[in-house]
Order: sequence, then structure tokens, then C-alpha cells
Amino acid sequence: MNTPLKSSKPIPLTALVFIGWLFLMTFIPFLIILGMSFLERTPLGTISFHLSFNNYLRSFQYIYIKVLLKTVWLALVATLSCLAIGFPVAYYLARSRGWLKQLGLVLLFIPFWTNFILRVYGLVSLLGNHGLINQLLLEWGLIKTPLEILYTRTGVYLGLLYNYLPFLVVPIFSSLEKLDPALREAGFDLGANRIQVFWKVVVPNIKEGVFVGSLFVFIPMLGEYVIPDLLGGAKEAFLGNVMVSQFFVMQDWPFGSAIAGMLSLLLLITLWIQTRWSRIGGFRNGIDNAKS
Amino acid sequence: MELTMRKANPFVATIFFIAIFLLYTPLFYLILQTFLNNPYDLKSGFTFRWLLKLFHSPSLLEPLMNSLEIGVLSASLAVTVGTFGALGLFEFSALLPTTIQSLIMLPILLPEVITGLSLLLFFLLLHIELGFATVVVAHASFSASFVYFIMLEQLKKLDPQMAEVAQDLGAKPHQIFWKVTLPNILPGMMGGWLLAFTLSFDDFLISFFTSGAGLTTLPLKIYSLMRIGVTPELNGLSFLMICISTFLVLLLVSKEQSRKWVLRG
Amino acid sequence: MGLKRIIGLLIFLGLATACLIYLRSKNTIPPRLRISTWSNYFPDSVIQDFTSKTGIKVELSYISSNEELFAKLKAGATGLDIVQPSDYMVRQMKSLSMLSKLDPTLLPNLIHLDDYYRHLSYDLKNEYSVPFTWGTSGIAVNTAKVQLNETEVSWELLLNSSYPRQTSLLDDMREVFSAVLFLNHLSPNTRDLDNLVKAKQQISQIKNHVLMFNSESKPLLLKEEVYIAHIFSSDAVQAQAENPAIRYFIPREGGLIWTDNFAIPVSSQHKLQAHTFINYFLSPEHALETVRQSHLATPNREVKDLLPLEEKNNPNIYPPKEVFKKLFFLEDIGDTLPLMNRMWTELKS
Repeated sequence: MNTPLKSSKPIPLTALVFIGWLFLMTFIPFLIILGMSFLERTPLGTISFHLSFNNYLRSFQYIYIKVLLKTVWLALVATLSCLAIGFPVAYYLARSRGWLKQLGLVLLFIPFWTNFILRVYGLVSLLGNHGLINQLLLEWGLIKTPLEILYTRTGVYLGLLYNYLPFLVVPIFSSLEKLDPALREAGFDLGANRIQVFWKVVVPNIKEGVFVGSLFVFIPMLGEYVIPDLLGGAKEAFLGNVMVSQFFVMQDWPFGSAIAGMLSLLLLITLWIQTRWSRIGGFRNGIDNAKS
Repeated sequence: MELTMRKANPFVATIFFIAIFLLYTPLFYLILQTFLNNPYDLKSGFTFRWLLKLFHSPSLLEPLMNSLEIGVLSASLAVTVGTFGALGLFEFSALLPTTIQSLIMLPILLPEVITGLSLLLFFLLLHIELGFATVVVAHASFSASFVYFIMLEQLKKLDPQMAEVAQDLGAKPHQIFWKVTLPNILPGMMGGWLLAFTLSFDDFLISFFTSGAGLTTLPLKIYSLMRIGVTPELNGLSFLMICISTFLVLLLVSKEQSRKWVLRG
Repeated sequence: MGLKRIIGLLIFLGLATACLIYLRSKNTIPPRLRISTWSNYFPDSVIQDFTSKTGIKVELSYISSNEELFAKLKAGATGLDIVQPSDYMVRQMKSLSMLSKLDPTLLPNLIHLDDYYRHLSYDLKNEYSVPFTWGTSGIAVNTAKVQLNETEVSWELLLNSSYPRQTSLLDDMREVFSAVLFLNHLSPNTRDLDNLVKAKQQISQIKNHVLMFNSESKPLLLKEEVYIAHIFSSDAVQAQAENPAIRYFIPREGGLIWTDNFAIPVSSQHKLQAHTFINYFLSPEHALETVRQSHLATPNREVKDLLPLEEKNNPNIYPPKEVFKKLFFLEDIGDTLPLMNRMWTELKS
């Protein structure tokens, strides 16, 4: 009674609003799409309420497994590349002080806040046969024929890298910020050199945050639709593209739902690996760092 | 303290500046194209034509208004629901059962394609007509969880003793509320609102699935212009939107209070 | 104490938001006609004209394939008042009761249509659809970049392109299959599984070489991102108008002919205005403007008479008689469709 937030009586009720909301707006729709994956499509494109596993059997055909592997592989390579570039960027930002840091952060945040579709559009016009890169390279005589980047797998990869990089820099930056400078100093005092301090002090203390940050880049990449669509020339389908085309072109909702089921399974496996790797507590902590 | 300020490794610094440069190249190129007579020829001369054309195309104004309205309403909805959750679960947040925890994480973890399509099926099954309301609700459905986490953090920082002290000093309950409690949770709500607004304003996929045919948001419009290849107007629009996001970031960073929330993205 | 107030505040915020959402979604701006069309049919000026003459506001949205339109309607796209399905899609939508019956008394301008287009097999009496334009599917070539023998253009040119990285195919299942089937001297409507499987294999070969699948290749041709494009005649003629080096060919093996129609989905809430729109664009004077500006082929007898000679005699818009014999409509392929869908999904994966 004497503290503003400690009266315990109405608490469950307020929480119920939120939990009910999540249950209704996320969990039930998710169940619906899972349920749909066990139904069948009629030749006319309507749905017959006939329980079957055919959609899953079909989705485990070689061709879709190949899409799955391609999706996972590209997302993984792009995440690791983001990490390789994002870490030094975050490290530099965390180490700098004063106006330089402010400027660096502002510079990082402008693309971050610029519309996603627009950033993809920027890449499309940059990479095309007549885009800036090819125009300049041809002008300078470095190449004879335009580089083939747009509408290839490389284009998709660059798109992933470009669009997700800021999303990884931020969580790494915030875990580096949380690192107690005294720890590093202690390291130096004990006679360690910079490399030793980095690997023995910095890395162990931020790896959780970095890992969860990577996860939050990797998972959306798995479900990516727009980037493969616009930068892959409708040839480099990800699982997301196969799924959406089942709904919006092929009229095969149950199969599309089965692909969604497959994607969710992938997600579960990723999370399972993650929880094996770290304790639940660290996970939650990392989530707060990563996105909230 | 001074020890940590040793000079950054030049290698790290180089990567930083190259990365920033690469992040900006596409954006600057879009801006440059806005002012080129022929957007695909660097030497084609300067023009304001495309930018002026933008202000004469009402077809872009409506999507912009739609996006703003959807952003404002879905952010308010998300803040309401998310704050309710944070208030209710604040005390138990460390010992919530895993099921509840996963439920809260679900909207954040699920890829947007699945969220969007499952909401589409949900609305169709309930025979809810797709349009403005479904998009607002769909956006709030995933941003509420983000708000929840922000509010949780904010509430953790709230010092319960402050209210006690205020009470001891003879403050009336409503004074405590307006002078102590509210100013302390308001930054969290504002931050959450801003994040939810950004998520909504930026969202393409979920709007794509839940908007039906009758509603166009700005990202949907950009996507459709891109597909049919109407580049000049699109370049004008890009210029405008890059200006807006730059302005927003500068505005937010200039205020000490909100800087933190920008940093959280 | 504080908690109750916060909750009160939240409830207020929540209710206010809910009210605003409700009001905003009820009050869907001044009633307007939402038309799902193909990207290059209606110039802005024509639509503005329509609005100023009738007071009906119009909003256009674009589709890139018939399948997309069909799926959109199925997935609850309830806001549409007029759609523009092609011939075979009219048949499919009609059979699934997705189209509402047209009221002939509201379409007096139907009499201006050429007889041929009033009795097409997919909708014998124009009960559900009214042809707006028609055209063919073929190949557009940038002749400034590609050397070719113009009298002997074959689907080879596209499907076995010597400029694969500058070649695009339509992102449309039936069109791509047809192109390969024509090359193999088969009917585009074949239901023979062996032939389709063979076609699929060919497409998967081609797919690895060509630049992209895209149904909006006009801007790509104009930007010279592609030199050879699988294209609809309407797009090709528009591209040629901007760059005369771009030429359109119907390959010697034959090509597809199609009509794009006006139809009203059952869910439309502005059926009266939708009829007004259709009737407006059936009237010779208004159709003329659209047809001339967008270089379309018109099924409207009187419009054709009014057209300037260079339009009327353009063989790319109105193919000569001997070419006509090699043109085929896509037909409903029944049970084979799901199989083809499946093959296409696999191809695109």
C-alpha cells in the first residue's frame, strides 16, 4: 500500500489483458496455420477438411530440402559476415568517446531508421547493370562487361548483409557498453597485453549478448521474403518465398502452411541449440540487450 | 578510466569507416538519382523535376497518411497492452513459467512471414474484413511484446522508496502519482510508443498480408512502384524519406531523455 | 494508489485508441472505386478525366499475373470493385462464383464492341465479363544490341538466348510453359504429362541462365538491363514508342493471344459505380483516348475506326491475318493445373 506499485491484488488481472492479447493475436493464429498444414487442397484450390500428412511428406522432398538448406546456409553466411563486420564497428563505437561517438551513433542510426523497402531499392539501383557500381567500373576501364550481381545469389547475400548489419551492431554495442571498464583495467594490471585482454576478458563477458544478437539477425533472415524476391529476380527463392507463393499464386494454402511448419521447426532447432549453449537466465538478459 | 581510452586499433577504425561508407552508398545514390535528369546516367545533368513531380502526385499522399495513422493507433494500442503486461508481471518477471515466457517471446521470434500469414488466416476464419483495422491490430500484436520488455526495464529502475519518501513528506496520493510515479514510467511508455510506431511505419510484410486490397501503406506503395518500375517518383520519395529519418534521429539524439530509446532501436 | 491511476490511464488510452480505430475503419474516406488492373493500361490523365466527369474517385492497384489476382481475391481482398482477369481466368473465376453478374441495362455501350468479342467462349454472352483490350505474348528485342534475322524469329531466341544475362522471362506459369511448348511444337494447352515434364526440365535449364523472371519488363528494356524479353504485346509496343530500337516479334512457332476484361467481384460494394466505369470505357470517345495513349489493341469496333493509321496498321498491335492463325488462347487445363502448379513451385524453388 505504501509503495505505488506493490498492491498485489489487481495485478493478475492487468497481466491477463496482455497474456490474453498474446494468446488471441499470436498463439491462436499460429495454431491455425499449423492446423491448416494438415489439411488438403482440392483441385479447385479450395480446402478440404481431410486430415493428412501429405503436405509434410511433400515438403520433405529433395527440392524443398534444397531450398531449406539454401535458406539456412545463406542466412548463416550472412549472419557470420554481419558479425565479422559488425563487431569491429561496435567495438570502435564503444571505445570512442565524446563527439566522435555521438557522430558514429547518429551515422549508424540513420540507415537503421530509414525504411527497409527503400534500403532494398537503394541496393537494387546500385547493383544493376547500369547501377552506380557498374557505371563507375566501366568508366574507369576496370571491367569490360557489367558485373553480374543483381538478380543472383550474390545479390541476395549482399542484400541480407546490408539490411541486417545495423541490427547486429546495436546489440553488440550495448553489451560492450555494459562491460565494466574496471575488468579490462584489471586485465592490464595483471600484465596481459591487448590481445589477451580482448580474448580473456572482453569476449567471455559479451559472448552471450553477441550470440543472442546474432540470433535476432539469423531468425528473421530465415523468414526473409522481400530480399530474395527483389534482389534475386524471382529465381533465388527462400522458404519464405515458396511459402508466400503457395498462398498468393498457387492457391495451395495447406502446403504453404506446411512450409510455415517447417520454418517453425527450424526456429525451434535454432532456439534449442541456443538454450543448450547458454542458460535461460543469460538468454533473457541477452534478449533485453538485443532488441527490447 | 583513462586507461581504456588508449587509441583504437587502426584496423578496427578502418573497418568502421568502410562499413559506414558502404551503409550510406545506396542511400546517397538514391538521393543523387533524385537530382539527375536521367537517373541512370551520372553525366545527365541536374534537375528538380522528379522532386517537384512528387508533390504533384496525390497517389503518394494517401499511403503516407495511412501509414501515419496506422502507426499512431497501433503504437497506442501496443503501449496500452504492453504496459498492462509489464505492470502485472513486473514482480514475477524473474520466475514466470516457461510457457508464459515463450508466449511473450513468440511475436518477437516468429519470422514476419509466419506472423503475417497466420494473422491473415485468423482474420479470414473469423470473417473479419481486411482493411485498416486489421492492419492496426496486426501491427500491435507483435509490437506489444517489445513494449512489454521496455516497460519491464523501466519499472525495474523505479525506486519504490521514492513514493514512500514523498508520502512521508506529506504528499497526497494524487500528488505522488502525478509528481513521482508518472514521470518515472512515462519515459518508458514514450520509448515503447516510439519503437512500436517505427516498427509499424517500417513494416511491409505484415501489412502486405493483412491489408486486403482496399488499403495501401507507404511501404506497400514503394514496393508496387518498384515492381512496375516507376523510378523517378520513387527517387523523389526516397529523398524525402531519408530526410525524414535523418531529421528524426537528430531530433531524438539531441534530447538527452530520448537518446537512450533511440539506441535501443 | 498509483497503480490504480496508471491502470485508469491505460484503460482510457486503450479505449480511446479502440474508438479511433473503429471510427477510422468505418469511415473509409469518401467512397471510391478500387480497381485492380495491369500496370500499363490507364494513363493518369484518363482516370482524372473520369473522376471529373462522373465525380467517382478511383484508386488503381496493380497485379502482375492472373494467378496473383485469383489468389488475392481468395485471400479476402474484399475492397476491390473491378478486376481485369484474362480470358482463362474469367472462366475459372466464373466457375467458382467469384464474379458478380453484370447488368446489361447499365452497359448500353456494349453495342460498340466488335461481334467477335461479344461471344468469346469463356463468357458467351458477356454475362460476367466485358473485354477491355486484347493482345499477344511474344518476344521484345533491343535490335541495337542484338543481331537477328527478323523474318525467322523463333522461341529459340528467347529460350536459348545468346545474351542470357540480358534476357528475362515472364513471371507467369502458363506463359512460360506455353513458350516452351510452342518451341516443342506442342499446344500450349496440352495435358500430356510427359510433354509437361519435358517442358519443366527445359525451363529449369533455362532458368539457370537467364537474368530473371519478371512480368514488368518494359522498364528493364528501356533501362537496357535486358535486351531480350518475354513480354505482352502491349508492354512491347509501349517500349517501342519510347525506344524505336526495341522491336516486338511473335515467333514463327506461334504465340498466345489473350483478352483482358472488366469484371466485378462478388464482394464489391460499389457495383453501380463499377458499371459506370465499365460503360464509360466502352464508349468510343473515352476508350479512344486510353487505347491511343497506351497503344492497346481494342475490341471496340468504333474505336478502331477512329484510330490514327499508324496505330490501326501497326502489326504489333493488330497482327496480320496469317499470324492470327498461329495464335492460341489459353484454356482451362482442369486437373493438370495442380500438377503444373506443383512443377512451377519446384522450378521456382
